[in-house]
This record gives sequence, structure tokens and C-alpha cells, in this order.
Amino acid sequence: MADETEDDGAFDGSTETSETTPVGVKLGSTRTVLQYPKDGEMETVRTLTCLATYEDAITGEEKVLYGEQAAQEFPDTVEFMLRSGLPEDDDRAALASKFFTELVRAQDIPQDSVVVYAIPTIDNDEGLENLTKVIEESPIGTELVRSFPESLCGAVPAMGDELQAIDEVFIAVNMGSTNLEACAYRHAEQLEPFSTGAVTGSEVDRRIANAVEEETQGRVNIDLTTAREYKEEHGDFVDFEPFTDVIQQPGGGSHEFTIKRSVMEPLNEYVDEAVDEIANNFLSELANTHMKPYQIALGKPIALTGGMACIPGIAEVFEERLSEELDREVTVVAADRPDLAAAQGAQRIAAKLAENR
Amino acid sequence: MTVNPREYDAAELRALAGAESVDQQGSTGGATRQTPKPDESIRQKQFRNLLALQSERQRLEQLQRPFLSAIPDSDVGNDVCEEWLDFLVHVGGCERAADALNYYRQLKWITPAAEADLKRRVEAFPEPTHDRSLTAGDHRLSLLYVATLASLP
Repeated sequence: MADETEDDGAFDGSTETSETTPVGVKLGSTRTVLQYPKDGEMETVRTLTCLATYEDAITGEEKVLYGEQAAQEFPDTVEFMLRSGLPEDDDRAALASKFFTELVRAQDIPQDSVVVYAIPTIDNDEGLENLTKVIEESPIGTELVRSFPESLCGAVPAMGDELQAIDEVFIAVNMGSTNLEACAYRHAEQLEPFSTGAVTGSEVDRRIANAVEEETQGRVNIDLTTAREYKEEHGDFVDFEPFTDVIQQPGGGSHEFTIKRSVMEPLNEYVDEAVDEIANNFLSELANTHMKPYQIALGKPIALTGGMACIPGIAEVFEERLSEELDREVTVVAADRPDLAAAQGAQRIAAKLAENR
Repeated sequence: MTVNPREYDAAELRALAGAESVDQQGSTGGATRQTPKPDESIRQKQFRNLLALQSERQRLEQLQRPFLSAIPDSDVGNDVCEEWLDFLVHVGGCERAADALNYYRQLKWITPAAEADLKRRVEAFPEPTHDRSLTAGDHRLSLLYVATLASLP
């Protein structure tokens, strides 16, 4: 089925003393990531959180496709059921359940596993209830299930090789597709969890699509998937280079165009808006309510996670602009793979849980 | 079962990480929004606290330097002192904390006897994973602790 698997030799969270498989899961609005030990190696599965169904022409049975294959083969009917971060209604919960079941069955993960989910901290009780159903119906995790904030799980690999982040006082910022989350953690305790849907990776995609139309003087319209691909492939704060692409004209022939500013301008706006939200909403509140943790945490590296943190150089630009806004030096760190970090952190916690059973 | 990520068990997580348990402090929110930037907000709060402590000491004619001659021999005094040193060590590590105490003695915030007592206590704290140089904001918070300790009976 359509997904990417890769070995991660950086941290082997497998447990020698336990046979229970520890699994880390990030059910993201755009991508879902699973991490678990398999044959002595760390297996990472990264796939689009989407599902498409079709009827088998011969048997008449309903067939299910998920991930990249579904997005490529059924772009017109494919459903991204966690678009807002959580399943919003029963239909989307049922789709999410079907998607997740298909995904874990394809990986052959044992049912009696310990599973830790990295969950976005969104104020949406109905969405959380629906997600609870999805997790309860999942074929894995019969041994134990836990869930922790995505920003905490994501900070774990950014702050060290094991679980050092748990015993630290620090700030984590998660730059996701549908939310910007931030939270201070004091020895694993949450202080001032903050989340906004106003500054998101999806909004960057929309702005890129609009900017491309404007830059090409209305000759080129791209969809949001193409905009996201432009962002992921060409967005670069260190070394951006203008690029060319080609579209087929409706009447035949093709049109080649060059993009110079339609990717980086929306990305620059995103960083400015993220800095404004973090400095003037989240940190203001934190300074107001927890003076000493604020002082300590701002002296430590801020952990940056989430899909948007994968844009080359974004951590450095965020660090520079946040320092300017606060009028004091701050440092920002990101995991090697910010898009995988939440699942990696969740897997490390799951490994410890499995070890202690 | 709940999957609400805000309702996890922090004590369980600390136990998994092999971290020592800590006392639960503070709450997680509900405060009203402030317009000043975070550092301005924190400075304002510290200055307000210092001003209040200074006024009280002025009334008691206790404003001459050094401000702090000894750590108050009481549970509250020891707790405040512990919190202050925990902050200094957590931010800058044991060596920088000791250097800071030396600096505070030079500024006549504390007496040599208080410095020696505090340095002894610093040695009991573990080194933090990350540390950094102490900033003006950190020293301001130290002055607030000095003033608080000096105001204790």
C-alpha cells in the first residue's frame, strides 16, 4: 500500500526485556506517522492521512485505498478526514477508523502492543470524543494506550537522545498544518497550553496558490496539493532559488512559468505571524502567570516541531525574529526530522511504558 | 478512556523518564491577557514587588547595605532560599550560580557570611542539562529574592 517506510538507527526504542511492541503514533491532519521496532530496527511509516474507496468491478466488493496511492489514483474522491486536526463528525470518525485500521494491518503490528498517541491540543470536545472512538476501535494497543500532547512528544527527540525533555523546564512550539501550538513544560507538567488555528501550514498553501495566480498574471491556477508540494520542495529560507514549472493549456500546448516570490513571501508572512502569536499571546500569558518558569524556559532552547518546521532555515529565522520581538536572545532547536518528531517521541515513551510492564 | 492530551499523568511520565517527583505548583491558566510584551510584563511585576518590599523595609528603617546578612532560620526562609538557588542553578549551573553569589556580595546585596552559607547550599543541587549565562533579568529576580529573604522575620 502507499506509504514510505524508513529505518531510523538514531534511537532503538525496542525493549530487550519485553516482547510487547511499543508503537508511537501521530495522526496528523496531513500526514500520519507510525514508529515501532521491527526485526531489531526502528521502522518509520509516513503516509498521507487520506482514504479512498471504490467498488471492485468483478466482485462488487468495496475496496479501500489510503495514503499517497489514494491521493494519486482518486484525487477527485479522496477524503482527508482529519483536516481540522480531529475527526469532526461521525462520518469522518468512521473514515479515520477505517484508514487507521488499514494502515496498521498493512504493517502487521501486533495487537497486544503498547501504543502512545501524539495528539494536538485543540479545544474540541466532540472531535476528541470521535478520536477516542477511532483509537478504541483500532486493532492495536490492547496492552496499553496513552496519549500526550503533540508538542511534548515532538520536543522529546529535539531535546536529547532519550527522555531528557521530561525532566526539563522548556517551551515547545509545534508548527502544524492546521494549528500552531505552544506550551511550556515544567518537569512534564503543562503550563499555559496555547493553540491557534489562525497561523497554519494550510493557510500558507492557500496563500501560495493565490500568489502564483498573481505572479503569473492570472495565467496559472494551481490547486492546494500543488501549492503544498511547491512549499515542501522549494521553500527554503537559506538558499531559495526561483523554479520553473509547466502546465498544459486547455486548448492544447503547454505554458512554462517561473516562480520567484510566490513561495517565500507566504512563508515569510507565516513566520512573522507565528512570532507575533508566540511572543505576544502565548509568552505574555506565560510571563504573567508563571514568572520563574518563563525566565528559565526562555534561557533554554525552544523546541520547534511539526511539518512546517521542515522548511530549511525556518528554525534560524524564527529564532532571529522572536529574539527581535522579545528584545532578548533566545535559541531554537528542532529535531533532525521535525515531521517525524512527534511519533518518535511517542515511541520512546511507549518503549518505557512497555519496559515497565 | 480519554485521549485528551491535556489530561495525561505528569507523574507517570516523570517516573518513566527516571526523573525525581516534584511538587505540583501553580495552575495552568485562566489569567487575563496583558498588552505589554512578556519581558516588560515580567519586569513590571518584579519592580512592583520590589517597590512593595522596599517601602516596608523603609518603614522599618532597614534599607542600608548589605541587604541580607543571614538566611532566615525558618521553614519559609529555607523554602524561599531553596527556590532562589534552584532557579540560579537551573538556569546557569552550579559554577555560574556561585559566581553570581560572589557578584551579589561585591554589590553588597549579601554579606560574606550569607554568601558562604548560600554557596554551601548550591553544592547540593544537580547540574542542569542545559545552562546559559545569567542575564540582567535573572539578577533582577535574584534581587527580588534577596529583598524577600531580608523582609522575613
